[in-house]
Amino acid sequence: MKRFNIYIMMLFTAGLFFSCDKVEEPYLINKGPVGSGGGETGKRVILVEEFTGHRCTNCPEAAIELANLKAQYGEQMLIIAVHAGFFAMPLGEFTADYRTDAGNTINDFFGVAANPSGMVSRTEFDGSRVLGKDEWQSAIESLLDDDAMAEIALESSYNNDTREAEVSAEVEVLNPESADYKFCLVVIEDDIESPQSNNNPDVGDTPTIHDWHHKHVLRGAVNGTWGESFDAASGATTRTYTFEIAEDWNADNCAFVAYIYRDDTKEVIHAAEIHVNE
Amino acid sequence: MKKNILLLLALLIFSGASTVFAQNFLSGGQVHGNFQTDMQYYTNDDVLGINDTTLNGKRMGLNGFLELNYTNENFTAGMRYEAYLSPMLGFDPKYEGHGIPYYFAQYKNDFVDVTVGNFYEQFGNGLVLRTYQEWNLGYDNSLSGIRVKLSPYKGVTVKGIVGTQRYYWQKFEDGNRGIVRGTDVELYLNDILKGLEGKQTQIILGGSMVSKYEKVTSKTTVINDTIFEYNLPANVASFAGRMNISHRGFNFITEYAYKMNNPSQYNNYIYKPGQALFSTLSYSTKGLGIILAAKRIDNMSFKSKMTEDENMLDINFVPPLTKMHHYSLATMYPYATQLNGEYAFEGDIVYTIPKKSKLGGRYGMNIAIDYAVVFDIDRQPVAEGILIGQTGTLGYESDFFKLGGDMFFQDFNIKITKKFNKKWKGIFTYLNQVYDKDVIEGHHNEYGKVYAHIGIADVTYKVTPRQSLRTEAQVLFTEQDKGDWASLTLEYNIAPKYFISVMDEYNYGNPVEDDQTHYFNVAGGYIKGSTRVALSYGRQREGLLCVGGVCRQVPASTGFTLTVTSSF
Repeated sequence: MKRFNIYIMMLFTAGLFFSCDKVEEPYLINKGPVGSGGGETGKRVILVEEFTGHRCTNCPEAAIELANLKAQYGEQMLIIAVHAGFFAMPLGEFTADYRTDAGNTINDFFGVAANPSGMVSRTEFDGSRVLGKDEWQSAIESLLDDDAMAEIALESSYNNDTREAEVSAEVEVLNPESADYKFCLVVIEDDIESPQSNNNPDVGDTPTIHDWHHKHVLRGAVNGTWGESFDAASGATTRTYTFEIAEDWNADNCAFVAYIYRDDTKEVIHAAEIHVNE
Repeated sequence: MKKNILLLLALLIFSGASTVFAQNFLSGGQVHGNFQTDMQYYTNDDVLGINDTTLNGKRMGLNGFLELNYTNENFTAGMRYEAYLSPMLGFDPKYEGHGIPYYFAQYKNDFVDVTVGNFYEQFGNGLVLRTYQEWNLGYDNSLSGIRVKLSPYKGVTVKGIVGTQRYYWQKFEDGNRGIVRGTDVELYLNDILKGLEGKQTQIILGGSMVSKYEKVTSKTTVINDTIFEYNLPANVASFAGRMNISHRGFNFITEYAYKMNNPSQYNNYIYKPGQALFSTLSYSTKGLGIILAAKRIDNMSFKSKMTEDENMLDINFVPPLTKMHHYSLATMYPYATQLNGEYAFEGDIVYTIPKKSKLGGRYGMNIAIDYAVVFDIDRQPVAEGILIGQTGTLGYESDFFKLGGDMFFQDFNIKITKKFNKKWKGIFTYLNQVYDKDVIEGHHNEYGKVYAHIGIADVTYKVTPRQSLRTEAQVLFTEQDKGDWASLTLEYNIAPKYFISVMDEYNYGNPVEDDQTHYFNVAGGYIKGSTRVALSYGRQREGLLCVGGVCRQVPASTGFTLTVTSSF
């Protein structure tokens, strides 16, 4: 009887705490071709700011992850790659310097301590604003169904001879709250080829990919690191800027990224992108 | 919640409305505690490339804690205050802050032992559950929740736990990490079976089950322009069975653990079940101790958050089968447990040559020989066209009894401890190590294997009965990595209050001439009772700091370090 009681107790406690989901194949469920999701008009456009550096060995894997997410979410997701911090410093064969004043300031302000990491519309997810790459998708998914809280209409013209681009932006916060909103415009360049440290043989050569194509590289701020305030309560407002594309940048790969954020929380409520020579 | 519990404790202890209760409650109670603070001030150092930019304004780091425990008969309550302002270099910046991350109340008698709040717990050898804290690593995976231990019959112990794990200062909310549940039963057969009562052969059997529940969020991947969503399990369970048989000087411990499909960032989201087998056989008698141990682990990282791939939120712990060294050059190449798969063996013999024998001399001599080797496990593709470890698959197949081709680590070491006379004693150590720097440090085809010979002579001369001079001379020879090193430490002790030491580690064999650096250090300390104050200035070389196979990266730094420890 005594022994029987022991067995009963063991079974009881086992049943109390045991639970498990055995997953059967297929482990991956086909959700359709890329581009089939996202990009719905009237939805919030999500801005991912990726913090990276050419001497960061895990960053290529993160860049691939980001490209995969971009392929899925299409126009509803924009990327700015901020090269800042220790791993972005030029050293040895990594002679390029993609750091910018704006990028350094943002990197320091948000306390970015490790690469790769990123912010998703500068929102907090699981208590953190700066997220590891494996949290990006969940954070994006949590914002994906949000309706657009603002509208940004961009137009750009580019003069090949003077290398000057003129960009106009019409911005409007749809239901402004009693907060200060700021509009920020930056320039990014895509597909810059230079060496990149790498630790993942599935991504490319290790320890260095010599012909890595750096994507969405932040080149500079057009209207300052923190942008400009505007009167959101007065409806739509239009701003025009002139910006000179530097000699060593490929204008064909450059784009303006515009975003509106709340000054109190720094949350980016909407974003838009237009190629410099659109 | 935390505030509520503290408030409750405060009310229980200090409430004027329950004076009689409080008097009973407080009378006979004892408070114990310990305190430590480590403070570092960093200075620029051109040789190590440390300047204003690399320090980024963080000139000072401070890690400190105070632990208090109140015990009164069957009742115990405790808390630990921690401060990281800012965290010292090498500690995760997410620790920045201060507060009380650990507090508990516990009541126990012969039948029941209940803890609410934070607790550390281990089932068996830890293969499916072990929570612990290691201050020097910045490691703490304590559970916060409820633990109940029952002893319903003599020889039977049943434990049940439910809780969430510590993640820096982040509060548990909205399923931001998993909930851990577990139960463990241990049977001491000598108390249960009449036939074994009073026998020299002692048998303990145990079984554990641990599962985690985690809110599943969507995770997709793109393969050939098609989006695939991972079918992720919300509940992941693990089981373990163990046995401990001892007879006279022999002791045999074995434990087998199995973990269900647990795709995670750590294993690249493969669905292969995990397995672990850990066995040790030891024999000890006067003057002789022998341990033989073997371990096979396969896909056994088990964390309460699937996206975590750093040293946090580990539910389980796989014991290392490599010797932990303390001399600085012997810790140059420490082994970090490879939870995704390793096959390890260790043999350890400690023999004391008796006093007054030919070799032992007047005081005897102690010889310790240890050999540890770690291989990869066998890995074969699960099907044609699927890469080994490919995400969203079973990952690989592995023959349980077959070693993988790659040797991760090997350490042969012999230590001789000898007292020559009343004035002189020495410890002499030789180590031969093979260290796969790529695997252990997480690189890929960057460094390869390091083959190192290390020799250490640690000699103490007793100047007077209270004063001694200790000299520690070390050399490390290797043709790989940073080349040869030599180190010399002189330490003067005035017992029981003072010590002063100077040390220099010199990387004289570095193939890059500019990196042939001296890592000097000057330290002094004062001890009074249970309080110790130490101040040092010098350089810290970069490297891995490992405790029990769990490691953290330590960056190079230069500066002052002040450490104060106390207990009461």
